[in-house]
Amino acid sequence: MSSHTKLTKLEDLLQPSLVAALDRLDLMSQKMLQGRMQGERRSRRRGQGMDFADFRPYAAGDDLRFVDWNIYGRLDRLFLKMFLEEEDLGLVVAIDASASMDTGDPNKFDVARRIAMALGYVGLVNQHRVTLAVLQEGRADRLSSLRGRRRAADAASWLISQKAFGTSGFDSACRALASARLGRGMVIVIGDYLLREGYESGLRCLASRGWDVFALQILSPEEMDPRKNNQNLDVRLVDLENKSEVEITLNSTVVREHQRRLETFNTTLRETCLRLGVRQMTIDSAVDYQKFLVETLRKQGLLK
Amino acid sequence: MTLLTPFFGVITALIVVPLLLLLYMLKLRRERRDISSTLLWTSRTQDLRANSLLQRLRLSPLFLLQFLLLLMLAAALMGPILKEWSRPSGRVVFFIDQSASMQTRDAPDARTRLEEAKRLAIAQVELWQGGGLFAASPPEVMVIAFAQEPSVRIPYSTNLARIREAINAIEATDQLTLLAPAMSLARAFSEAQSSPQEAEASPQMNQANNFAPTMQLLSDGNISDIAELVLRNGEVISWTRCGDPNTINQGISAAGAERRNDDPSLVGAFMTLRNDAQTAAKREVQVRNNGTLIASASEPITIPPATGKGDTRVSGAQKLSFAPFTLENSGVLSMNLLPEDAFATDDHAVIAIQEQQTLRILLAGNDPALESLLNSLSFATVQQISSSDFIKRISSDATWTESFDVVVCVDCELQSLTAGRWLIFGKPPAISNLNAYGQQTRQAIRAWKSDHKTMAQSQFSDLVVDRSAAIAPTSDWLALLEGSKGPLIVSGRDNNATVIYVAFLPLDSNWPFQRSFVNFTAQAVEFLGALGSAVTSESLEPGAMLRTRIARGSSNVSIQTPSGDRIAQTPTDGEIVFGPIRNVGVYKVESVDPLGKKKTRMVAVNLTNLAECNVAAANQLNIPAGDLQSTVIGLTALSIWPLLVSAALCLLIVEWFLYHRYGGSS
Repeated sequence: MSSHTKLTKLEDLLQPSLVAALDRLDLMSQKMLQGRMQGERRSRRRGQGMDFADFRPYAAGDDLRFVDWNIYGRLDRLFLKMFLEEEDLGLVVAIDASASMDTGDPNKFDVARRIAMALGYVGLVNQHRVTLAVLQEGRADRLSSLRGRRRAADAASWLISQKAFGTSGFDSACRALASARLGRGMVIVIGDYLLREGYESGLRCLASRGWDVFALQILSPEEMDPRKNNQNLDVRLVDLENKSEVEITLNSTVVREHQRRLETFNTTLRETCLRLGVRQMTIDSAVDYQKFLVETLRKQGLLK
Repeated sequence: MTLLTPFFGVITALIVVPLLLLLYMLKLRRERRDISSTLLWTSRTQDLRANSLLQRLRLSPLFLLQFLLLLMLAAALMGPILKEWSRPSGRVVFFIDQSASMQTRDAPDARTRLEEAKRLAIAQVELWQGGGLFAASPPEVMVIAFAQEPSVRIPYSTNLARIREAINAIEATDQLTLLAPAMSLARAFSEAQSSPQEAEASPQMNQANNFAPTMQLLSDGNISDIAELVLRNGEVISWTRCGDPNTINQGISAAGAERRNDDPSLVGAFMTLRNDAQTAAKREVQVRNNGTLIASASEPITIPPATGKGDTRVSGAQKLSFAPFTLENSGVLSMNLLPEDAFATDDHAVIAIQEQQTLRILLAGNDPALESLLNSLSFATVQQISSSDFIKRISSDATWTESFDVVVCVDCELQSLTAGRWLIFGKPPAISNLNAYGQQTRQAIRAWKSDHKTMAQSQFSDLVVDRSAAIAPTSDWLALLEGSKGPLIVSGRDNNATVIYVAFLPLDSNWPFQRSFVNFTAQAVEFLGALGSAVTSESLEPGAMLRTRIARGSSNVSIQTPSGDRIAQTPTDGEIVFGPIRNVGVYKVESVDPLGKKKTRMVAVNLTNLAECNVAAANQLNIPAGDLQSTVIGLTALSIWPLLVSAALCLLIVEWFLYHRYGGSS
């Protein structure tokens, strides 16, 4: 059942009360990643940062501004000071925009877009290179290389314009995303991961490119407990993506079996992500996503 | 096995079983619900053809259970019973024996035979009435309870509640068993309730269906008039035996008590015990006066066994007499045989002892021999009056004679007889029953009725009568002494007068010189006097009429039965008639005489009839010229439907368990 909320403006995606809280947050990657431009994030690249890293002997052509004249006075040899260069962070927030996301109450796709907007906003205000993407029909439509708070409106408009339909083609879409020249950085993939074709290949493709991948699974309350908001026990379940149908009677045995299968599925997802070095988290679409962003993700180490 | 309502069950099965099949073949209209993925759902039904109305039948365990359940319920509705039995059509008459022997307590669960008969009859009627809406029409049932006299408890009816109520209301009696009057009553009802148009339209059918209803006899088979029964053409009677043919009985076959003539304050009691068993029996005997034990055998009395078998069997008998005891007032003497056997009715006998009393005798006329004789009787006081004065007195006061117990008239010219007891010598009274037509002379004696109380212990062969009245009494009068030319002593009733008439004067014969004159006169006075207020005990059999005289002008006349019920009575011509008596015990006739004095007279009723006391149920009934099904049959058929319904409920529980255990489908 879809309960798609009409998202029409930035405030629908990002409430002003949340903006102030997000202004104080920054993304935290578990990997030291190389950016393209100087940013506000420490990188492995030695350069013009503020943090000292090492010395090396002067070589012809080196910038004399980085010669340590104190050492030259003591040792009469030229050494060059090496600094950890502060680089920008590539942040890719990818949303599964298949039809399966357009379900639940609250709508999973709406929640995904709100979280994506919030994370993107955090990236923008911290001068990171933000790319928003939707994984749909095997493609990865993107809004790339956004930087700065000013682009938040653009990001919001783009997210609002996205529709969930069709299949995700998760594997192909991830490959397409990975093959895009987006540099290295953090990739947050938001979806329900209820994929018949599987998710491991796509996540492996992203992780193998050196990205810090975070898999955020959103499930609706009805998926957690099928009897919720459902008066009729005899139902015909229709898969929104492949239109397959399942006739069931929602008695306790059936529900119990479904919950056991869901538990097994989520356990498999966690184990797969752990094996791929991918951080993973499952949330209910009815979660208080403001609290989720400000508190839960900080505890998870995605934000700081 | 027989099905009471097969069509009901078949129709139900034809409706519900296809309905179940249809329900299983119809696709359930389920609510569409869009979900993100069916990945985690396993279809609980295999057929997913969404656009078809019907699907192929899936033989799931639940379907099979439900199918079986419906079949069982349909079978239960067919009313199956385990018995070779068929519902009679038309009319059925239940003859339920309520005689004394039906009180024998030898039926299952310590029931009496009558209780068993009523239970069987009700079960049979309920069986016929069963079947519900689609059952065939139940037969019309009439219930006749019979003992010595039959009574229709409910005419032909199909109302189960009323039939059940009528059967339950049948009470036990201590009377004999007479079936012929009951059958006559049933025939009369059947004929009366068939319309003339029906009879005219189809005489044969009418005779078969109405005049000859199916007759069900519930009895122990001890029927006194079985030899007199004749079944009409087409009549069939089925007999259900109630009782055990091997039940034996000991009881009191005779009991009596008498005040001694020489000392009326002394009462002597005697009893005879009988034993129907082939072995001797030992029973204790007690005699109580108004509930107080006055005599008891020191050890159990041995009653000898019966001899012979079948119709030639003679019950063993033991006679007992008890030492005279003093009883000046009236009382109830009860004799008890202990412990009680299966038939307790004859284990007890009651004797009503009247208060000792002197007969008041009026001697009208002049006869020195009679005067001397009557004055010599210890139990009588004699008032003498001349015949002319007597005639004058009764002409002015017709009720005057009622103040005497016996009026002895000698050569009185009586124009009529007022109420009372009369011993008349000489001139015949002018009543039509005697048909006096002149005089006879010189008669010898031809015969006399020696078994009559008045003629006992007397020899009349030497009597010679010189002159007597010539009479030709009507047939309802009894000739006690027959002379060579006609009756000389007769006995009978004329309206409310009880009369013994001697057609000659003692002095016109040689009778005063013979002992028979003394015996006859004393016994006649005692006999006539005892009809009013006895000097000895009086006992009746169940079924007899209780008839007694009540002083004119008495009020509050009632009869108290042994059960304590008080029934008001209205005397007719100074007499009350109550009955036929239904149960044994002491009946108290109470009244208040014109002087305001309360009068109580007790009448004992005992069962001493040998046929009724033989409580062994008959093995076979033979009704001549009839089609008697004398086999012993049981009326209760085992109903199967409760078992089927129970099994269906068990299946329902299993089905419920499977449904919840496996999620509602295969």
